[in-house]
Amino acid sequence: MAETLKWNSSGAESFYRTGRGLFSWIFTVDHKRIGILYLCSILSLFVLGVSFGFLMRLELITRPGPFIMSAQTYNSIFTLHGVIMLFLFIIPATPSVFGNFFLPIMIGARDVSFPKLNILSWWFYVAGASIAIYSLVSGWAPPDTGWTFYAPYSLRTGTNVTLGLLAVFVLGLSSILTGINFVTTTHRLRAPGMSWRRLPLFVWTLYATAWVQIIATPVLGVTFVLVMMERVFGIGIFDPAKGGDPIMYQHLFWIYSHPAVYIMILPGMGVISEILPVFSRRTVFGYSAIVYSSLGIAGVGSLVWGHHMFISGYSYTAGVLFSFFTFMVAIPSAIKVFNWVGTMYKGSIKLDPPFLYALAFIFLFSIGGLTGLILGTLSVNVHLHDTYFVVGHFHYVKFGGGGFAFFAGLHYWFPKMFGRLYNKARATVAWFFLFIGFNMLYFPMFILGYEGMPRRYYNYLPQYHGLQVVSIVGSWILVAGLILMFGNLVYALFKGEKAGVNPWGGETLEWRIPSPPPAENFERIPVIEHRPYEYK
Amino acid sequence: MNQTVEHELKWHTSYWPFLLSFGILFLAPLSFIFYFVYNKPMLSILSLGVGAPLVLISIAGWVKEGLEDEHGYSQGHSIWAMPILIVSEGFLFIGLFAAYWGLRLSSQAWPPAGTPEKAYAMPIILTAILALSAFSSHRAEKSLDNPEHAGFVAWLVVTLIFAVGFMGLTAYEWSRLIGEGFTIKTNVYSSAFYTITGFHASHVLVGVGIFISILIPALSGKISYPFVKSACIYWHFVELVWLFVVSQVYFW
Repeated sequence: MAETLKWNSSGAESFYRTGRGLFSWIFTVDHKRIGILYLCSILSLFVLGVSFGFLMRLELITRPGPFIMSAQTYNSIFTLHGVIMLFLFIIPATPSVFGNFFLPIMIGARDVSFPKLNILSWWFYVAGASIAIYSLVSGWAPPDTGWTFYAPYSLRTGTNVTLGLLAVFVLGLSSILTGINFVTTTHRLRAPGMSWRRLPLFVWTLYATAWVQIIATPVLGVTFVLVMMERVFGIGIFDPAKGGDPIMYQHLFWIYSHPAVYIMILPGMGVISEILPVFSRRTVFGYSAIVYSSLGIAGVGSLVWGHHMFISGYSYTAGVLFSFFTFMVAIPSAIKVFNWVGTMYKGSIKLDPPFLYALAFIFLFSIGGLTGLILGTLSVNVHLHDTYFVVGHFHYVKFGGGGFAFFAGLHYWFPKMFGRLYNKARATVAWFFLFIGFNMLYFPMFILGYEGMPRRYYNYLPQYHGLQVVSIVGSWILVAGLILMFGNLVYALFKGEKAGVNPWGGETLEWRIPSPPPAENFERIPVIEHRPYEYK
Repeated sequence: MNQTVEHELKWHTSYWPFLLSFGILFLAPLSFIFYFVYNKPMLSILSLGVGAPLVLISIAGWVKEGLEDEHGYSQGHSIWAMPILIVSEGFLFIGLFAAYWGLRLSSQAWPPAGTPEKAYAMPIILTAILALSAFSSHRAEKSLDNPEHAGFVAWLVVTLIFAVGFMGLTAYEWSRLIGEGFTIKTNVYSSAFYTITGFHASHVLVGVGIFISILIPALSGKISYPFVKSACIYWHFVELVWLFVVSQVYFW
């Protein structure tokens, strides 16, 4: 087990105790406190997003409705469910919470390169979130375009689309600033001896993610500015009536939004690559392969945006090319899955909650990835486009992948972040509920989609009713699992046993400093002498 | 890296990021929403009135704090971060130009109906001004290397004058075109024209802000070398983008 770094007694005080009061939080520049601030804000918005999803499912229990809401409300609810879950939860979740908290610790630094820029990003996040929520309660009908804001409908609908777009724009700003901060930090603040090939894998994935954020986000920003200007000043870039081109909107939108899928999943893959070696007591299998496949996913993933537009009417050649690149992305993704399985092979496995979440991630992500190949096939896509099959696919990837990786990270790093242990038995029960509920909720969607049920519809044909009900009951089990999981963690926050320095037996730097870490992390910056995950 | 030496643990806080985020929120998104979405000009002006001083004060405070923290452990990181920011900004303009090229290459007739006869004098003058400012900002950087404090301030002022002049002439050009009936909603070309030149002008404006926040402390002798260096990198990026703007939007 890794050796604990020496501290004199006064220096080892937890960072929660170093500053006190409200102002020590809102004016803080400490990366750990910013991570906690992100955790609180992101989880509150996650609860909001889950509630919308839950209500949306519940509405479909009777047909033709209305059961609890009108069709117009339904349209707004699925739009805001998408906007909140994507832009406010899953894109920032893992990088902003665990990235902020653990990136400097894992590379042996006292903070990120630009601490003040870091807290500024959080305030931008809060501003963007407030605008998004305000669009819901402003008294004007909330946006009803779907989270994709496709032109020309988004240009013409009378709902409050401008506010939704503005919210995403502000969030994008926050995302870019965090990305620049992380890249600079990784380049400049590594501890002596922490060469690139000794970086923990989570840091590698954060680095790749940060580059995708830096490169892709401005394109989305500019696209949304153009749509806003179109609504406000009446310019005609996307409006066919004025000589504009709505297909161009789709291109510009997906140039960001497809790489954004990798912003969601890559840090999650990093979390899994951290957890598996620790709970298998083996060094990670194929370190370089995982690193290069992360970079490969970030690179090739930026060239596949067109697979969202196979039926938009662009050229057949473009379709073939985008389909080809889509299949290419499967290669680095599969390399990662093989490496994870290789890491577990012949390990002495401990079935603790973080490991269970990691296993669920691999299972759900594999289903999500393989159904992605079905959708990436040009001919099949024509039939499955805009059906429940797509909804099932991206929930398996984003929630089953990104979301479960976030939960895995939460259970893995909880003792370090808060200095308390949670009840493992209850956490395992919650995991079981989540896993069963998730599959019951989203697996029927593949069948429904295959049978022709279109997405975003308020009403449906009678033959889909049975599977819809299965899916709705699944959502109840999932929500029960979430309540159990968060309840267990919140209880542990106050009543949990004190966690030691290294409760899981991890080898990376964060497990060598006290739990919770003291301000500025290290008294003396450690010198790194070998790779991470060197288990004997 | 000097962070291996033992140092006393400190607890930092700063209120400038908090104030700046609120300032920016009031200055840009809120005043925009109030005016254009909710049609409440008074609220919009109020929001500008709250936002502008907040932004100015917090930038001043932030710069002051940065200059005082001369031995901070992340000293000099801005020279690394600026190129990364520029990559990001570059993709912003790539997005805009991609849209412009897409529209242009797929349209039947270009320029579309309603576009006035192009005048070539103004873009040439603007290009000359930016080229001169490139030279003067480079001279400022060199005088800092030597180091000659007076020369640095003088060249910085010259650069600033060019930048402000550029903004003024762009405003004049816009008002002339609008006077001729070539407004942002005239046709696809006018939309692209004002969007692209507007985005570029906003970057010039940020450059002016950066130069001012270097100049004011420099008058009392406080200069951060990395800050000046990254400001000059940024300014060269603005010039580079202008070459695309002028060749694609004016002369093609």
